Amino acid sequence: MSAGPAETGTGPLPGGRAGPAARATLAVLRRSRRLTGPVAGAAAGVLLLLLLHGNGFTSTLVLDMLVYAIAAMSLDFLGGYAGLISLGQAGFLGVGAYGVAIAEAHFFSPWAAVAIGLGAVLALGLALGIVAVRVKRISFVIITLAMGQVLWGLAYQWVGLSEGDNGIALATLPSLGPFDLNDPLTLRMTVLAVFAVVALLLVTFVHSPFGLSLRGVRANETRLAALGYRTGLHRYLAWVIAVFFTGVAGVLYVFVNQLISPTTMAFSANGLLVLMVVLGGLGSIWGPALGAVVIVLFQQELSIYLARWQTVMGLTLIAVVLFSPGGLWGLVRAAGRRRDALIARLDPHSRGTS
Amino acid sequence: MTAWPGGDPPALAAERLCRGFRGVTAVADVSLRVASGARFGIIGPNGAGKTTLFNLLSGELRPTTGSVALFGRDITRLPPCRRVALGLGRTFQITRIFSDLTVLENLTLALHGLSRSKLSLLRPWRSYRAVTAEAADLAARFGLARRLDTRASELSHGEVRELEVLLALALKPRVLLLDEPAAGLSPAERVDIQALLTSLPAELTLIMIEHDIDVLRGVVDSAAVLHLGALVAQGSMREIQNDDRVRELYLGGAGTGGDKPAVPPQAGGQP
Repeated sequence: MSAGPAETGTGPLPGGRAGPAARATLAVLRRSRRLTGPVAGAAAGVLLLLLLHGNGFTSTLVLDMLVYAIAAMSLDFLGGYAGLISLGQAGFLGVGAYGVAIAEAHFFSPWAAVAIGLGAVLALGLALGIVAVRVKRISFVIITLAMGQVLWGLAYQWVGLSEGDNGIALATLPSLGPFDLNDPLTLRMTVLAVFAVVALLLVTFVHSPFGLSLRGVRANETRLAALGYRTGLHRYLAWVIAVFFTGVAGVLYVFVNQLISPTTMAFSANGLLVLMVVLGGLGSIWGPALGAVVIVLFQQELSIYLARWQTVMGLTLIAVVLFSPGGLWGLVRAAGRRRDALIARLDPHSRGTS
Repeated sequence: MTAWPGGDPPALAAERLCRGFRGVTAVADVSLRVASGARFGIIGPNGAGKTTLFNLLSGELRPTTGSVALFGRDITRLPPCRRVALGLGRTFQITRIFSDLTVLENLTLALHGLSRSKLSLLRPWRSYRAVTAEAADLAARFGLARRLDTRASELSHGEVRELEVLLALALKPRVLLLDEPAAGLSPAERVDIQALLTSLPAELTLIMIEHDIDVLRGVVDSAAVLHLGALVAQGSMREIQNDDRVRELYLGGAGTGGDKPAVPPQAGGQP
């Protein structure tokens, strides 16, 4: 989770042989080890500042980043850890969003609509999981692609329920006493809080014995079964968790945009989600959040100035995949490792402690 | 439960096991009884059906006909993970470790295998102190103590074979199936693995596939010989080595002057 080791030990500086320059470099490098916390804090601060003081456009941009970051992190939990890359995830985001919008259009209260949206995506995840866990690798990709396309087709063509191409506008957001999501600031803070909770949960999950078992599933499922694991159950639970959190992202999506239309679930949306995960770094949770930030930025900012923004995005992705297979997060990790190696070289005393 | 006249049921019993692949019979009518605490070898040339027999015993494959019993309990229909829970562990001939994971993570996965904690979501696996301490102990038994934080993909071939056996031992099996644990090892590494195998607790039943009889010598006390899917001979190591048919079929047909109609060309085994 952290970019570098949390170790902050300050062993004795090497006397004698090391010159003052080396000693100064070493001190800087050592200090940089303690930067993980401040850097994360600064990122959170910028986020908070943009949400508190940004204009409507900026804050919507940041909220979209957070919503897609939730979806990308969920997809990473399934794809980066259990090795199951889903190409239908935007479909489940749509189910969460449509669930809320359709329920509200049918005169359910906003809170009931949220429960219905989350319930629908959970039920769908539980049901479709029975099919999805029967296949692996490329078959899994194809099956989830088909699921996503079916969901998109329903949104597009079941006009009586979904209003087809036009999509559904969401009139009122839930409120409870002073807590009113119709208030922009409350909404912004709520999205940020949900993002933080989901990120924290997913990071906790991947470091648990269950998270370890998912990495085992990806590395060698047969062996895991020979160690007493019901591997199908583990893949099923990972699927349900990922689908549910993607549905949570969908609910927030319709809150932020107050509109849900089939475009959100189109094939290209599924592709973008996978791009976020790969660009950010498969199997790192925080990486895909970073990938979501970059891609939403490309999609919404760069597209204003540059008609060929997709070309830029494509070239960026190719560069990242070629030079850092671990994605953007892989670059961060590699830098941390290089620094530790440098410290070890400059300071023989630190060997064995880091 | 089957009644076993004359005392305890055998640790592992196979009754008339058959398995075919699209008309080719890989295992034909094999019956075995391995007593509790025995050290049992299964010998045979390449393609004799040894690994298929193991897969039938451990549950990776279902037999076409026949049954398998563990300590008298019929396990023919149980999946591998249930058999493991009943005390039947195995290793694989083609090494199956978790190469993306470190040695510590490999062993931790194995140690959680039989407990409910493997489904735990909220507690970091590193905080299970008893488990990580046990993993370190296991690694130390094989000289892997300094490699705990090394990714398994960076281990030497010998260390990988050792980790393979450790993963199975982590589950504290009562019966352990070892599929050619010494395959591809240097003579020095072979001595290491033989030392580990002879140091295992006496109550552990060991069943070991090997096509090199020399490796089995000193580790197992009785053995069965498999050829073209069928049992050719069964008995103590001395009996096996003196069995004329075994010599003829497996040990290269000594004295038959090059006329070996029953042995396929690749049957000589690796040197």
